[in-house]
Amino acid sequence: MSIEELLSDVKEIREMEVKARDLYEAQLRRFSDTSIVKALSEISHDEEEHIQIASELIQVIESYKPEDSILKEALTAFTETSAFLLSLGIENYQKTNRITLKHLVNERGFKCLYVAVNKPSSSLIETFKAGDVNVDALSFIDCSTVGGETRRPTVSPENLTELSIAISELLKKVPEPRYVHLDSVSALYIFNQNDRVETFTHSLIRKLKADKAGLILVAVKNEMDEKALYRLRSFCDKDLKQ
Amino acid sequence: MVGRREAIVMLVEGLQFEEIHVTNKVQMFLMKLRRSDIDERVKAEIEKKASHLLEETLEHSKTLTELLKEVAGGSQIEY
Repeated sequence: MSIEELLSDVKEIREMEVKARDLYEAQLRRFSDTSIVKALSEISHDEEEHIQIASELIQVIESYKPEDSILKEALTAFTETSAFLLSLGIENYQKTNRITLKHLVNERGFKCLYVAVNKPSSSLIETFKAGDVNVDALSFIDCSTVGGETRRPTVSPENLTELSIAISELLKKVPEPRYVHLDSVSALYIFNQNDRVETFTHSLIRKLKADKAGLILVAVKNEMDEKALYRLRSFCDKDLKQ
Repeated sequence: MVGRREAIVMLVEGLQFEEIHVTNKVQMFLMKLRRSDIDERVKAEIEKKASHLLEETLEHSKTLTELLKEVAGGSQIEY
């Protein structure tokens, strides 16, 4: 259903409300029975309010810009040396991740090293496939299935030094243009002290810029405190708040 | 002042307009809105306003039906 169609419908509704008001106003001039006049006056008053509501709806629909397009627009500035923070609420987590991947991987041809901290890569791959993300352009480091059965490299989320080494090593195999998608940096705060995560992130940004690889840092706001988020913002080139 | 017959015609005109045109159009709009890809937050805002409009339109139909019953069954010659 297109926005244009909804807009056309609501404009038609407003015209109907205007016609209804005019109809009752004309009838009011002719009736003299008090109970009918009272009822029609109330209806006519409601119609006036409905015209106002329909006008407000027209404004809302006309000024509507999909969240997807706002995010995509912001992502156009992303390059191979960018470090963008994607700070989002848990309710937008899946959708925003999918839109970001589709834009960078499918549309702009980035190859992605996906650091899966929140969910195992096997489950993410299924979700991404269902969302039409080109999973062939993704390589994974699993941080949530340590010790489990996976063919993909695994690193404990508590071992940030090992994670940093794994990213550097695996990135060598990822062709350009490329970027690292860290999903999520906020989950690393569950396993590590704030300052350790911040040192890790700061160093990762520096290394990736030198290696000509971009970085998307996903931060679920519900998982971390405002101070930590503020510091991450200061490390990154841009915060794509969602 | 209008005669009983004319009063009935006028009230029926209003009732038909509310029931056939406005109610149908708003209901269709709500259905299309629910199926649309508009972000949930904006969708909820639009739905709330359009639903209020629909509820009041249905109330108008009820009021007009009641008035029609009174006029059709009443003893007054003019209204």
